[in-house]
Amino acid sequence: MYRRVIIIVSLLLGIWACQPKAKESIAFDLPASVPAMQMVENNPATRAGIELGRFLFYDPILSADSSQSCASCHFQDLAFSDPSPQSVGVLGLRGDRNAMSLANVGLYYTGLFWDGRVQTLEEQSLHPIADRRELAGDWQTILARLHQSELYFSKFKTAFNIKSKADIQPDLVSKALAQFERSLLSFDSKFDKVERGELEFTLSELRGWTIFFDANTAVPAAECNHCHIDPLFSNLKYENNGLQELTANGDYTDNGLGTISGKKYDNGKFRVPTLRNIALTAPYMHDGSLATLEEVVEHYNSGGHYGENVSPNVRPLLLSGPDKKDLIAFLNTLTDSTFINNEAYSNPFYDKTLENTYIY
Amino acid sequence: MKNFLLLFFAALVLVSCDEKTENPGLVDFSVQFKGYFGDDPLVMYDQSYSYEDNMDLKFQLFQFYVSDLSLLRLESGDESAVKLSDIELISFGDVQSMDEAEEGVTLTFNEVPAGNYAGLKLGLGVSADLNATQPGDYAPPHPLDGHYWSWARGYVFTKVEGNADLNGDGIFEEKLTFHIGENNYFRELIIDEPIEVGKDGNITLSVDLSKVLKDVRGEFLNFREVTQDHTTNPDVAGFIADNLPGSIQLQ
Repeated sequence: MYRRVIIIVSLLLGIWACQPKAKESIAFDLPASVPAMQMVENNPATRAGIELGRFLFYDPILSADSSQSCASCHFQDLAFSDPSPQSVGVLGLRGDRNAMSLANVGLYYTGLFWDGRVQTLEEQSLHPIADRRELAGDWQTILARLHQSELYFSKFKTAFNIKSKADIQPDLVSKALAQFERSLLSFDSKFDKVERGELEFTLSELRGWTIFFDANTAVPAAECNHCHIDPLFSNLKYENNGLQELTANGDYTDNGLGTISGKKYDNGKFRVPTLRNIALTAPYMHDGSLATLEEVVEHYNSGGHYGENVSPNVRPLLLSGPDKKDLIAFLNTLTDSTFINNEAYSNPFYDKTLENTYIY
Repeated sequence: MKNFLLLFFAALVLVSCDEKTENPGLVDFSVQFKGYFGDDPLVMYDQSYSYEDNMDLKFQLFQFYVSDLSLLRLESGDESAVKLSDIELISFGDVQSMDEAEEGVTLTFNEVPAGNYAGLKLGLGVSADLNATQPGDYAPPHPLDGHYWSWARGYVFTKVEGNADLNGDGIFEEKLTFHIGENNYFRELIIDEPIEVGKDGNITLSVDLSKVLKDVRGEFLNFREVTQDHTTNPDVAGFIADNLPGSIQLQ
């Protein structure tokens, strides 16, 4: 009798141990210098959820005419940013702002989008799907497509334990997309390798580092580090960087955060973007109005336009040609080739045996 | 019937045991910080303030860390202090109207022993042990999840940011940024005044930014000569660090 119980318990344990690990929640592997990722309570990250999110991210099934996906404006080889100043959606409508890099987006806990209009990735991921200037999707159509798919039934079932295809609903789509976005971690640039003692800066990069961080009065200060604090290279705040000129009635063409908060002194403020992979994410600024890093450095060197809520850290810098060159040399060390080549972030529909083809 | 009554009383005992027992000796206690510039409420962006040598100022940020905020018992001394908090960031950055200035920045502490205290002790800056940590050691939101200089391996204790009008033309185009950190600029303040912590207990501390920028001898930061410091000029960093304790008073 006793032996039989042991056998049964062992068998049950064996069955439990053989269950796929896909459903187990996982913790993201972050460097020690990075504050912990804030997770949404009812959406722990799992391997199955992240993988499902990856499929949805790359699948045009979420757009009105099945022609565009999230990846149409967030290219992995550009650190999930868009080379167009403002992205053009499925209806041919152009947005107002540049699609920003998604590198480390899961670590932004002070609001998302350039104007901070949502607080979580779960909320964020639904916006581009419904926006007429982006994917212009309607949920009735999208759900009908998803409900017909055996592939998605299987993946949603593994990720979220759904019982039937009808259980695939917008909230689960947003949760899966949010999980995938949280997994987009970029901490393997040359800068990181220098921090870890694996590589050394060149003399130009080192001088650029000193200029960037205002770390030594022997070289000019570029004041970058007040807003672009490492390790994220963003202080996660919203700033007016003097890019826009005040209009005659005292506000800006795009009021950014002020449109959301309704506060006068938030007008013209935008989220401080990460500078990680900055060499890959042109064009720059909320409106994509600066085409190159040289133009960006020139903007800050000039001190920008006047405005009473322009950050005092944006001031004429008096950087020389060599100073600017060294600063850009340092900025180039923030490119993370591991991130842009990571298979786990790549298009799951892409068949590498067939060049330039996608299968669905 | 007897069993029913026994069950009823047993349930009653369980219910009453489940209720949180309140200790009348422990109370909530609030410390409110209200910003001023001289006699005027300190309001970011919206208000301008007359300064020395015909300069006018507008501010965008004034913040500082408070370490080891403690109530001192009557017999005084560290051993008898009641620590309220390890670290707090007092920021007036979001104070952008007179109403918000009146509200100030309030810290509320629970389960503080009621009683009469001899005073309050504040570390101004980040204490050396916490200054050896880094933002990655904290789950946001936390006072120490930002305002960190990785190149200096330490936190920025105090920030004053704003703009100056140097010639009275109403254009505040001279940018002012003063960021003070490093352990040798940590200061301690003891407010040696009786504080009663009881029911509805709270205190208000006034913080006068004008006293941070000019000292009791009349020396002041001349923004015609210096408009920024990132703790690179010991004279400027020391001036601000030394003035900060004198700017804080119990109201």
